[in-house]
Amino acid sequence: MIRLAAAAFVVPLLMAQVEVDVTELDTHPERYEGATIVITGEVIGDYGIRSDVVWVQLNTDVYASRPLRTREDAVGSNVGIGVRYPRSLHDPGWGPPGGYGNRGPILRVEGVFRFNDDRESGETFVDATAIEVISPARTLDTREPDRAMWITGAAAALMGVGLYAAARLRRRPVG
Amino acid sequence: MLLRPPAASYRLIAHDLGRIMAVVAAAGAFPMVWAIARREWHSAGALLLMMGIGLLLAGAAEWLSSERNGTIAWSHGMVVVALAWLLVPALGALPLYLSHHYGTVLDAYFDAMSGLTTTGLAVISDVDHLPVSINVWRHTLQFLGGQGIVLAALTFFSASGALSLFQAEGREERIFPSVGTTARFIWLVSISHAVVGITILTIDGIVVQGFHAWRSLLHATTVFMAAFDTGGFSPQSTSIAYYHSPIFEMMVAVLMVAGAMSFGLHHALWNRRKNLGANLEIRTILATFAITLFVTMAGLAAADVFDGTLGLTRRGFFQVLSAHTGTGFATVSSAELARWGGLAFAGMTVAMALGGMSSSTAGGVKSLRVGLTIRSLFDTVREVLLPERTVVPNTFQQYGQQQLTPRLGQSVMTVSLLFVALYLFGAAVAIAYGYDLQSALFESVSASAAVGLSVGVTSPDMPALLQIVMIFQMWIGRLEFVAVFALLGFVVSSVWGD
Repeated sequence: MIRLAAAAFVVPLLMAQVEVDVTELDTHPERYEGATIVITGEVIGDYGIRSDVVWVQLNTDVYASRPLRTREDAVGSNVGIGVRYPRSLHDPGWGPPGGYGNRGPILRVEGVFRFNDDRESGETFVDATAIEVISPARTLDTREPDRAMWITGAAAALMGVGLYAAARLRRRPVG
Repeated sequence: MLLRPPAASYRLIAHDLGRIMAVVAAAGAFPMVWAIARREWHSAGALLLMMGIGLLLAGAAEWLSSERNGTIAWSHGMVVVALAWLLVPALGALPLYLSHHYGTVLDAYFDAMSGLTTTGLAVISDVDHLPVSINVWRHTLQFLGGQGIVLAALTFFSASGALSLFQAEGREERIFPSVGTTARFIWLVSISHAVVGITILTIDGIVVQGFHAWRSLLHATTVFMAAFDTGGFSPQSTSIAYYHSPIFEMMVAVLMVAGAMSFGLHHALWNRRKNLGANLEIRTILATFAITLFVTMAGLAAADVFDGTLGLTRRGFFQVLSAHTGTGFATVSSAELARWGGLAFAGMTVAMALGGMSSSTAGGVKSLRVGLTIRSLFDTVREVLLPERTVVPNTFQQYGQQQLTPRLGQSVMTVSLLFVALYLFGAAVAIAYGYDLQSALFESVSASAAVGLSVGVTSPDMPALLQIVMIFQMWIGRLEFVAVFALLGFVVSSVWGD
């Protein structure tokens, strides 16, 4: 029944490319299963370069456009999906994937949405056929080392070791 | 009449707590190596601060208890463990909070408690851009918690009342007569698995996944710590689905099973002990895994969630195994898991609630209790049906023949019922906040049984009170009630005792 209802939605999608985000794919996968979709997001983590394909994770969350800098920017979990594309589409010039101190390349990916697809070992992912680079990776300013933290930490550690040694001496029987 | 504990008790408790703090502080050296290697100087400072405060607390405790004498009583050992499992997350949360990836102190404490209790539920924001060293610290907390922070302390320091400390942490069986030797055996098993597991996962990362060598090592180390200690944190936001590899999932599955096995079983296997097929706990866990797997698969097939059998088998098997071992790794998103209604939901929830084997890193009711509860009920029915003077041999096999005494039967049933009450309590609170029954129950069981699978209730914007309730569930579930009750008794007698 669900699949019948979804089919009615999917037929028009097969005829036109639809720009979606991962939240929408997560919520209504049946609507997009087998359809060609367009998804724009940040490559994070790793380039999984296998024999003839590359696997990446594409995040469409808020951090792709507004990297987390302060506690106020912490507004929720990541939202991402796996993308597989032919190795011929890969360009090292995109720069490193996103991680600490680095905003990964923003890619606009066109491809077929595969949902728990038995022909693909039951995987859920976007099987990309075309990729456009919106912006290459860029280095983000990492947080400066906080001297106060270093000094306080070192002082506390020294005091702790000193107290421990003093306690051992105090406990040692005299004579 | 309540008796106020003597001053000597406080000194002994402080002494053991201090040693546990020292071990946790020392564990900060591991992520510190990553921080230096990756030039994450801010994180290195946060880790140093945590280590410094830990050592200061340890030194202060040693000073305050330097005039101690006597040995710690059994109940006070329980108090040490219950307090340690509240204080260590506070210390462990410090580098997490200073990373700026947590909105509030409560969020950081939640994740530290979740890591330490090997639950794996997370309220972190943007884990995909988290400093590597802080990610390693989250996983180190899981490893410490899975091994047992008190057990770690017992390995390095001799402690008064070692047996009560050991048992208070949810470990019923001593493999060797000495607690210290048992602790060292547990570390030997864990480190052996770590060497093999990390090596194989790293090779897989480089050869099969096509990752950079250092990234493969990072994935292998963090995934190993989370899998073997049935923790469930993952270095990337999409958990094990990130790897898109059935081979990787199989290797992780082996580690999850190894983590959910009791260290007694590890010892039996190392010594090639035969006749393990008669072991009540092994038979129970195999039976409950088969039943919950069948129920979940049937539910998924009936709900038409998957097109074919391959996806259904791969996802269903991994998720039920992850739930039953209490690991909490996911190969499907929270949104998809939330759609597994009906029988699939029932199968998953029961698998989480039952948990792994006793004296393992897993949580939940645990298979030995489930087996003993069923055996007790069966024996009771048999006694009623047989003639009055018939003697029913109430025995079971658990590395040799054991006696199922009425006291033991009563004890396992009490703990089992307390777990059910804890599951229902958390669900009731979540329902009061407007979550539907299915989500509320799933998340409550996941937190109490230290699993970590989520259908979306756990998030950075969840209500603070619900967060506190889940912290409580993780704490009391990990310690299996007794130590927490002992702490309550200690506090009451300290305040109102004469």
